[in-house]
Amino acid sequence: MDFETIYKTFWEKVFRLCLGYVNDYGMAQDMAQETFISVWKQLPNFRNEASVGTWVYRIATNTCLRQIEKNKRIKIVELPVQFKEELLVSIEPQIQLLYRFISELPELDRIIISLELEDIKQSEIAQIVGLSESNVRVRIHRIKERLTKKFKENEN
Amino acid sequence: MKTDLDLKELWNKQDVPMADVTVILGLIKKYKRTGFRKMVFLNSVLMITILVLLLIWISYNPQLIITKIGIVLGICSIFFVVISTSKLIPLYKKSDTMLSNSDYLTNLIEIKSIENHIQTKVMNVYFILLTVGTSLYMYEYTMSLSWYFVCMIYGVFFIWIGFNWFVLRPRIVEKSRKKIDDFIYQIKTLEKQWGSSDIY
Repeated sequence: MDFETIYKTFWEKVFRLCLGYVNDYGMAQDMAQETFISVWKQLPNFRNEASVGTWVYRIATNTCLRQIEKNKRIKIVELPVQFKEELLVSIEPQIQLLYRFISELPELDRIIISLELEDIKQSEIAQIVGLSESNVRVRIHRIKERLTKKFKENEN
Repeated sequence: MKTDLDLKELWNKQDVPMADVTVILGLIKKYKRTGFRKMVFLNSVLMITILVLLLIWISYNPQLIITKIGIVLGICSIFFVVISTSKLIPLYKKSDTMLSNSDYLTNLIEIKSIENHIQTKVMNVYFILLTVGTSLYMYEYTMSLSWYFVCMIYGVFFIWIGFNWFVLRPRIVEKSRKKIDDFIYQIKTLEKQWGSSDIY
């Protein structure tokens, strides 16, 4: 798979993953771009030991984790003002809530639930985060419970 | 009540900026250019310093062995830093693409610990080698001068070295060590999430 195909296939997924992690549109865009720069750098060394998806998500999640070091860094690309305004009116409150609730979880749980919501197999999630499959399964169950509870609390 | 399906549906409804290949290719081009410039700059500074030291050796043909030792110590100090820093290259290379999240955090801690070591111990050795090297090197060329000039030249040199060693170095080292220590602490805290089976 060439770089452009990988980029077009995974851009949306990686962006959502980053947005779930930081709940900041501009930062998520920077992180997604950073992920694809790493993908481009490492593509010649990719030997199909894992699926392209697992490989890309691994880079994306590690980029997310590295944010603790880069919080003070200047953003790569600012969103055009017009686009930002459009977003504020078009996003449903429920979607905003979901992304906010996820970003309030501990870092590892943000990654796990984002991958789960992207329909990644639990065995692949386990490989990406470095936990056992059973541990991932239990965590997903608990995170979903937690999110459901938060939605309920918000309704009341 | 939100069901699993609802969560996935909501997740996928999020507006996403369009995948613009020209933007990412532009960023890659910029990354290549700045990375290349940085590499060329660092290597040029290193090579020019070594060349100047060798040119001095050849042009001025030092007679005393201590002058030669001084030049060799100067070159050694540069190589010492380069060799110590190069330990990081394999760690940087494997940093984000081959490792799972938990191994990635362990690798980050290792990188930061080496960076800490470079900032403190390696830079101290570099500074000592350079100071001793320069002092030895200067001896032959100040020998023919009057005591007044010798005292003045060595005085200015040692004041400058003293300022660097006692004022600048501790500040830089302390600032950098604090930053790295804070970062290691944050990673270790983050790493604990992998160990706990009970998440809430």
